[in-house]
Amino acid sequence: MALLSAAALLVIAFGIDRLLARDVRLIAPHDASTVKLNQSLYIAGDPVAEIYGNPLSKPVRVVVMSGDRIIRPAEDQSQQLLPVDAAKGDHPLQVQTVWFATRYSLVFFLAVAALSGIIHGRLSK
Amino acid sequence: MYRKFAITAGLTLALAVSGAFAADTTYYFGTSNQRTNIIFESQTDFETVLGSTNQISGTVAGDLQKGTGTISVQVPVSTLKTGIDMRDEHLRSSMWLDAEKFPKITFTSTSARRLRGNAWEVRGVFTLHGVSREVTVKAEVRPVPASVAKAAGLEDGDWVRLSAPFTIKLSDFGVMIPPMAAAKVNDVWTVKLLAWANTRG
Repeated sequence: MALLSAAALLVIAFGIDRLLARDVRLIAPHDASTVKLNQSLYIAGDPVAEIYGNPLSKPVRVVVMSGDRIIRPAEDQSQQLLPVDAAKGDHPLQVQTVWFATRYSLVFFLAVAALSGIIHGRLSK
Repeated sequence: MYRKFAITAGLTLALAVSGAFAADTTYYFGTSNQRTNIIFESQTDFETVLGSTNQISGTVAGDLQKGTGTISVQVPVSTLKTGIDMRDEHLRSSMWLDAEKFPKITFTSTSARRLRGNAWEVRGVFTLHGVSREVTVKAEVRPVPASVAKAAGLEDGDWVRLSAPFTIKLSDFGVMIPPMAAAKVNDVWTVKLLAWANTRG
């Protein structure tokens, strides 16, 4: 049972990672007027993400249920920016968190499976 | 005599145009929350935390043409948000930044010089949790053309946009991460300030 649970957990984590997650640049968003202002000041070579918000230093893989929230900047459509307004409680689930929790849970289930095996073996004798 | 007068007048005009007599101009931060966007970032295996605030006060004074200036800013600790209320409470608590005892994070420059274009190197004292440390920041100070400011409906005055990323170690400022949180919060935080300041205050 514990082994089945461990296997199920792995499948779920893998499914979340492959089917629901995207690599995006999280940004604390600017308001619309500041975005327009930044677009007026933009010079080729400037960091594009900073037009739309204050970005984290590198992309993060997060669970994204709807692609509507993702910004593809006109200045560089290869980028995908996800606005995260911490003041409003925005806190998207990150895939690294899913895998972190999965690893610890796997250790727990495998330990339970091993313990069950030992106890079962002793009782059988 | 006329030639001497012409040379003197020409030199005076050239110096005036070059701005050599320009006085320091003071720009004020925090006149509008929508023009302030500060984030702090902590990366661990568990999570990359994105925290932010849009509250700042202070000034930057300088001669942009000469490439000299000073800056002094303050950010209230109580305004830092990470997206989870309980985590924000912990952040403000005495175990972390202790907002009650040390309500403000401050930075005061000791020197500032322009490197090239809009790029500046600013050295100063950063104070967090009651501890002060010298930091060096590579900042960008971009003047906003009057025509752009007007078209954008900005308030009167001259505007500059400041962008300044830097890193700090919490332990350098006496903030010790509790063992239970060590897997979730990094000792090293990346901070990035994007803020607008204007001369009207």
